[in-house]
Amino acid sequence: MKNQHTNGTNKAHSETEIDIDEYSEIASHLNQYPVEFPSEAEINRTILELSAYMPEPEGAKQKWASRSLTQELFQVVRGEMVIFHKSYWLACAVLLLLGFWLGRQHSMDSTLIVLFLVPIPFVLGLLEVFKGRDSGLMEMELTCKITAQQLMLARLIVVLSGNIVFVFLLMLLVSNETGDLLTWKSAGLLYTQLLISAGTSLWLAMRVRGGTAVSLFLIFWFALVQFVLTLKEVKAFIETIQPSWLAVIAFVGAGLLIRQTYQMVRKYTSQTERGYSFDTDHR
Amino acid sequence: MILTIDNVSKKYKDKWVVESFSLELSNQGVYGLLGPNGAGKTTLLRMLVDISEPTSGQIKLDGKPIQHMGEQYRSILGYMPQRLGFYNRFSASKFLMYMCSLKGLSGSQAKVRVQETLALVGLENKARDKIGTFSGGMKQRLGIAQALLNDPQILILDEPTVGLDPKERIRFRNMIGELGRERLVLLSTHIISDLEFSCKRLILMNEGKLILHDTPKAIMTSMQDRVWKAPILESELTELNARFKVSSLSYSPEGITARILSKEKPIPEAVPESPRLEDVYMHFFGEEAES
Repeated sequence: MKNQHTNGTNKAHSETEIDIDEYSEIASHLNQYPVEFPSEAEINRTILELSAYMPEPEGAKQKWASRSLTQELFQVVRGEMVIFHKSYWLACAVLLLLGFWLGRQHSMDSTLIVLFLVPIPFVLGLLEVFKGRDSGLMEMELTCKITAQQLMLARLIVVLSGNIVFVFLLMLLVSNETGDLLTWKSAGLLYTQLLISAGTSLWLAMRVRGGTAVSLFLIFWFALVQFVLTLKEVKAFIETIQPSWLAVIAFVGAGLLIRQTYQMVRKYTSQTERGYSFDTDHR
Repeated sequence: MILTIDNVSKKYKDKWVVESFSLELSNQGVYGLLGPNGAGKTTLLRMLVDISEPTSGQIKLDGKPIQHMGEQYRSILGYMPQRLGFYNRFSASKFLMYMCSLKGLSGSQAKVRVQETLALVGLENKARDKIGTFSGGMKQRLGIAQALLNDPQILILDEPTVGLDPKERIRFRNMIGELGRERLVLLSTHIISDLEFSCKRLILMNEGKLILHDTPKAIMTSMQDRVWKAPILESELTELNARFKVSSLSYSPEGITARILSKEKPIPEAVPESPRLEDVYMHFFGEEAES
């Protein structure tokens, strides 16, 4: 290379530039070190092996996850029904019998009876939904194959489904005596009420301990019951409410319940430790 | 199997609870995570079990970020948190069966594993007793049992010996040593005796940062010629504590014997001593170790 600099033209060279003569000189030396380009098969094999480590596109992962979540969720739902404390099912049965007995008291309005009993199974069920959190198990549950969020969602499904059946049975039992509840309007009224109560009580239960939320809600609820019983205008309003308004309220109730459920699954709890708040932001 | 903590940090509000923590844990063995209260151990472990997200950095298993692994990572993980919770109305076996269902074990697998883990932690005679009747130590043992149900490849235990009596601690140490032969065990503690005999590597952590990680022998060797034993009078205690780090004091009818940390002979009566882990603790954390 040194000779090349002293021979030939007087062109100024930068340190990185070589001319054709210099290249010819070194080319014969470079030919001793062939670098073969990999074959197509080798390239494809490498891509295939590395693709296992590439993150999936966001949309694809969520679609896969949602299919798997649905299947797993219903498996968990089946299991969780067994785990529910017997006292919960007993309480629901007692409320059903209470509704039936009250419905036979001709001095009482059957619609109001059912209306006031409607949300109670769901509210009591929140004790089961949040029992992992309130018992301090959440940290362990979050590290399991089935996560705490899946558990809470499964329990919520059990409680909500149970309450839907409860309302239907209550309507049947009370209507057996009075015959006035088996109408679309009555069903709309009762299930709308359920949606509003469920969304509200879930919102509350996500902010305080389950037992506290249930107590607070029931105190408020019974106070409301007393208020309604004393005011005939309220009863009249409930009975004459237009279906369109009922649909709007049902829509709002459903939206509230769905939003609270989403928040519960997405980002659940806030625990305080030594003065710091940390979020279990498990996905 | 390599678990890599790659420059991980965690911030709560304005405070860095874990800061630029990097470490590699490989294959079987017991790793001891040692540090005083408030060092950030629990926060680090929560990130390792993927229930808390790092503010920055990544944790990887064999090169794959654990946040992307999800269920695949959780299925090989066993975790015992610092604060244990139970359904007190459940019996021990019912609780473990419940945890088996969460960990995805089949019914037949669950029955076998529940019996095995209860026997391993010495609770086989208490299988049908309600957890609400258990002592603190029994609940700790049940907590260890639930972490072992899925026969995890990575076992993470956060302060597992809190509430255990000396006999239970010895049993626990023996158990951990056995478990460490077949899996990666990360044991977080501020109690020296938990780590003295079974640890492959010690990880020292304070104020969110990694101070040192090495074999216990290497760490103690580095402290050679820095540990002294000397008889002292009670009246000399205050001055001694002000001038030197005193890792322990022992009282006997003959008087008080102090273990002193110093590069040079601290007092004329001092004689050199072989370093112990409690000396390491005092040297790095500046406070007396709990043992």
